Amino acid sequence: MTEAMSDPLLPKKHREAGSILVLILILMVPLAGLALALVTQGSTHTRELGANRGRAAALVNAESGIDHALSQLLQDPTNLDLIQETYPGSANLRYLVEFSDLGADALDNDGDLDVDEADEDGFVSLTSAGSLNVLGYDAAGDPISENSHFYLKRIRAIGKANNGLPGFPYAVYLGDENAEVDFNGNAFLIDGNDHDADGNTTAGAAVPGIATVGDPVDIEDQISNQQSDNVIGSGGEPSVHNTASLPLQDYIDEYKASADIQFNNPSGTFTGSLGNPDGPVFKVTHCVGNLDISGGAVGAGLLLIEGNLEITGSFEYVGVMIVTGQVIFRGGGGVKRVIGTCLVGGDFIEGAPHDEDLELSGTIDILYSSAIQDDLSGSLATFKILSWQEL
Amino acid sequence: MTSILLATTVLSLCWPLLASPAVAGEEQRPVRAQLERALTLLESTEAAEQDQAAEILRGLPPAQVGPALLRPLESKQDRVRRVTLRLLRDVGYDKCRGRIRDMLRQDTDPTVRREASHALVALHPDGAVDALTTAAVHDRDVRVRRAALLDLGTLRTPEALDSLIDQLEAQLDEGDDYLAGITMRSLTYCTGKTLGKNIEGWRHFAEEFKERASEGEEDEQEVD
Repeated sequence: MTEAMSDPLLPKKHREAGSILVLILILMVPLAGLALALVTQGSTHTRELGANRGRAAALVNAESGIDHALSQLLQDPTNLDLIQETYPGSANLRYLVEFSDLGADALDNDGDLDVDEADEDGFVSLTSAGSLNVLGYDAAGDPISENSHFYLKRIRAIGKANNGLPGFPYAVYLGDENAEVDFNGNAFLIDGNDHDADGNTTAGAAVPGIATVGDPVDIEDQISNQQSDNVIGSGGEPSVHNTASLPLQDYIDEYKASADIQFNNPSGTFTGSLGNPDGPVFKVTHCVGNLDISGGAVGAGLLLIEGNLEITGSFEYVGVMIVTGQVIFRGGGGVKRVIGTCLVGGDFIEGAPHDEDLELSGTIDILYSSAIQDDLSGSLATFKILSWQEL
Repeated sequence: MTSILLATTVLSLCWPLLASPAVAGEEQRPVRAQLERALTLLESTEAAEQDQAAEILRGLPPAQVGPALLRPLESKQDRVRRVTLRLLRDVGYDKCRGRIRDMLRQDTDPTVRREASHALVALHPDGAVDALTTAAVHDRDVRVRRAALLDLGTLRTPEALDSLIDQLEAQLDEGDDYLAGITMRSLTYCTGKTLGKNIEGWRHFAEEFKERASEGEEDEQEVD
């Protein structure tokens, strides 16, 4: 072959046939290299894609862990038990959620140099580790082999538990030390004895009919002798006692976001339903400005008024009323009844329009009920996620 | 026959005039007796008797109770003066504006001054702004200042609104959070608005309020 190629007597076609083969061989080397590179890159991409998919699955799993924790805390905000869950229907997915009560972890979590002070109360840290292990997990829940097919993502969320409303052990609370009350006639009853949702007296402990942050004598002085037995509860008659101040505006700020019914500076008179006293079916009602209620309105739940509340005609409410201004019950139009408690930032007035904080006129019953307060508080218990971070 | 008919007609026309003094006298006597008894009880030093008197007086004809209350209004007992002011308001006796103003300004007992503020706004709302403003700004007892501020809100007039806004501005400057809170509540009661500490917002609203009030007055004049 070499001889033929080198023989100058042979035709030119025959002399160059071997050179093409050589050329092909020379070209095959880089092509083979290129092919190898492409195969390697494809393989890497496939692995990367698999890894991405694994990490995404792990992240989704970690998020599922947070959702699971949220559900656990909504049922019971004090339940901080570890959650360890294998994803239903798939043996190679798992999440694990650890809780930390920031109000009791002996750390200064808010950086104010105080440890576990009041403003850290209720805050909970949730760390959720979501993982995917291709080889699955053993009976103890540990990955069978933490090799390259194991993916882990961790999320840390901070949330705040809200245990619902605290108990308000009084029928009426007056939050202004200079509050005035104006009671007209004798057809009213402020009763600190415990009642059920229907207004029947129960065996629960009696509490003050009226609790004031000021001097009880100032309130007693505004109640005539004939009216003394219209304010009953613990202690003598009238049942008026001193109590600590309540942050009414804080309660309003906390629950107004959950309002089912919202009023903004209403100009008319409301005549409808703010929940159902039968049952009762609770609703959260929030009003910015004065609220006038009339025409046989009913309601149940939490009534939040950033202004004055004026009630004319018959009215029935089961729950907690929080009013930053005055509460005015005007006479006529049937029975007005509140079962639960009535928290008044200003005055309590009954009858003619003037400036006392609590004014009572006509047939009015304000009855303390611990059962209603407990039911309402339970329905308001929430847990909110405030921040979210992938670790 | 004609004379009988004439006599019957004259008699029927005159009968109420002839009969009324006697009937009225029968009704008057127990009222007067009850009034005297109630006024005596009212001057008692016992709170229970004072309250009993107030109950009796609320059940009597207001036209007779009102003038009779001027005497206990001068009582030396603080509680009697206070109960009397409340009674004046309840019976709607509005013939003693000057005395109520004096009591708001000068009475020695703050609870009486507080009651005088309520009585003034209930019985004499016209022209009450100046007296209430003076009490709201200058009274030495916070309960009276508080009452006057809230009473100003119930007037719902442009003058009262201006007064409240001025006072809110001064209270915020002085850092008096308590009275500023009361004034804001009074402004909300007065206007139905919740502008809080926004003085400029309140002033803007007050201008609109005045314009609406003047337009309303013009409309009323046109209707007249």
